[in-house]
Amino acid sequence: MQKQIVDLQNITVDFDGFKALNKVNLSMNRGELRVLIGPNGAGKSTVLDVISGKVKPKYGKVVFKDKNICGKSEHRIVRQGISRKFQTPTIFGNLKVYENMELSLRRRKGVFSSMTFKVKSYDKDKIHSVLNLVGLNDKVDIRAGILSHGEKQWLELGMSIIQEPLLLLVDEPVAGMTGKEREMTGQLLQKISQQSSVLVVEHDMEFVRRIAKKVTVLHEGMILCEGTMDEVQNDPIVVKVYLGRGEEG
Amino acid sequence: MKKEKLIITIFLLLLVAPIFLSEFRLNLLGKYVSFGIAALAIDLLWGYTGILSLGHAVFFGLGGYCMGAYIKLQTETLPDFMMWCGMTELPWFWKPFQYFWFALPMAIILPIFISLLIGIPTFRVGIKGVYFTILTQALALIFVTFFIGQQLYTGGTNGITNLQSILGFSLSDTKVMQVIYLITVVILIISFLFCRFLVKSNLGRTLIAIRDSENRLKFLGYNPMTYKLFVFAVSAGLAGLAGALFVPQVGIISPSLMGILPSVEMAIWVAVGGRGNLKGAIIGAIVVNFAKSFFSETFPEIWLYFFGLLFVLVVLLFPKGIMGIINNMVNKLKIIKKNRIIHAKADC
Repeated sequence: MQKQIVDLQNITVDFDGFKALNKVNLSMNRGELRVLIGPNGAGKSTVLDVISGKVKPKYGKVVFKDKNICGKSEHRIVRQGISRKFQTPTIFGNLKVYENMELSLRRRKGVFSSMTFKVKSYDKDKIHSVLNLVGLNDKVDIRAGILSHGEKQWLELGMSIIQEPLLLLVDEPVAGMTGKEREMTGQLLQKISQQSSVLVVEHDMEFVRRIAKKVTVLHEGMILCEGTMDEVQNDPIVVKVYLGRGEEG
Repeated sequence: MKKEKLIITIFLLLLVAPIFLSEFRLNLLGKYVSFGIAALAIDLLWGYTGILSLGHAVFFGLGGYCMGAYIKLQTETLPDFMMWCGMTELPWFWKPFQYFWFALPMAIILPIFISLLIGIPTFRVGIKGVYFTILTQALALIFVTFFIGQQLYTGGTNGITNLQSILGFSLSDTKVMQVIYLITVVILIISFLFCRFLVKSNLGRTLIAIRDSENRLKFLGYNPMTYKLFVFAVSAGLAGLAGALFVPQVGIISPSLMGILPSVEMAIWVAVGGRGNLKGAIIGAIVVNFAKSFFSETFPEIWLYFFGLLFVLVVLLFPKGIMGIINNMVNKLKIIKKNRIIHAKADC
């Protein structure tokens, strides 16, 4: 098995002349939990958009499992094994928590397969075990729309996990969460990273310090540096453009 | 089973209606039953998937024209309107419509074909919401203009009239009309069961998921476009079938039945009955049309105002339509019953 799970090579994203990403090289290993930080507008979410196929880069390749996935449509990339959790909780509000999970199961997802799909008992077990993991096991039959903000975030994480992705992309998971919810989310992400690689975009430095082993700093569409939290925090350039600025403000 | 009591009662009532109703009323009811099928089509698309089409009368009308062409060719080798225009021979594309085995499937296939023709380019580039709705309105406008303009082939503004016999049976015979009515009811029941199968399956949940968050669904590995195309095509086919059943009961099909106004009316049936509820769609179609004929008979001058008022009130006060009201009442009754049992136990 190859060690590398995803490799962004020389990615340039151009929004009408504005270079959101400029020759970005980023690679992640299997089972790694990586955090992407950087000031507003640094291009963090764009990196996730490129990997998940939402944004097509002008130049460069995204190699996932030895194949270039650039230019493939979103649902095909998902089927390759890349899940994504959005920044704002995005769940199906009119369906029950259980039904949300059921739709997320890893299976054939064409129209006619959906028509004839029956949930097997091991699917049910899997749904319940994931709901247990994200702490929603007592909300199985509740309409997802009436969950609290934090619970919606966890449900969406659960929906991402149950697809058994090789790579999970997570965009600002703790935005709008209380302290205790943050703690739980941190533990959850660490648990998930035992099974799949996780790439997290996060603003909250406190939270990053808690979960991150390796951090990548992005600034104005370019990678500034990469390393452990301590290394990054002591890097003079990083302090200058990012961390230091935070203290001034 | 308990939940289905209402719809089973309605179906039974529809099946025994020929015993009680006069020929005139039965004919009206038969028309409404065919509208019920069209309402199911709209509900599948709008109520479940969240795609509002305000051009569905086009599909209904296309189905109607296919059936109308067949019926016309039963008694006339060359339709009267073609003769008046100086045609001497039936155009090639009219010829196969003299066969029932061709005309009836075409009443479903043609609308499906048109729906795919519009659906593939629009859904692919991600046109949705109100933009899609406007597009369907344009479709209705285009088709009406086209059918009026091609008088030679379509009968123009008058449409195809003077329809007399189907499969060798006269359309003025009471017995024949009763049989056609019953067939319409049976097809309504089959359509209902088919739609119910769709929405109860995992596919139904996927449709609701498209309504809730298409983007999320995409990132779960689904391709929403194929789902939308599928449901749009099914919906168009059902509407076409409804049109084919409508025509022999009314004896006419004209462009005025496929325009924007009848399209909007179809959406009103579903809104009044209750969106995202198949029973509601059928109830809505029948109730709204009975109200329409009652108001128009009783207050011929001002009935349209009543009709508009009814629509506004329902949408404002009961966003979930008639089915919402019924479900509310049932829930309240349940609570009262529960309380009574608790009180009874307390008294012991």
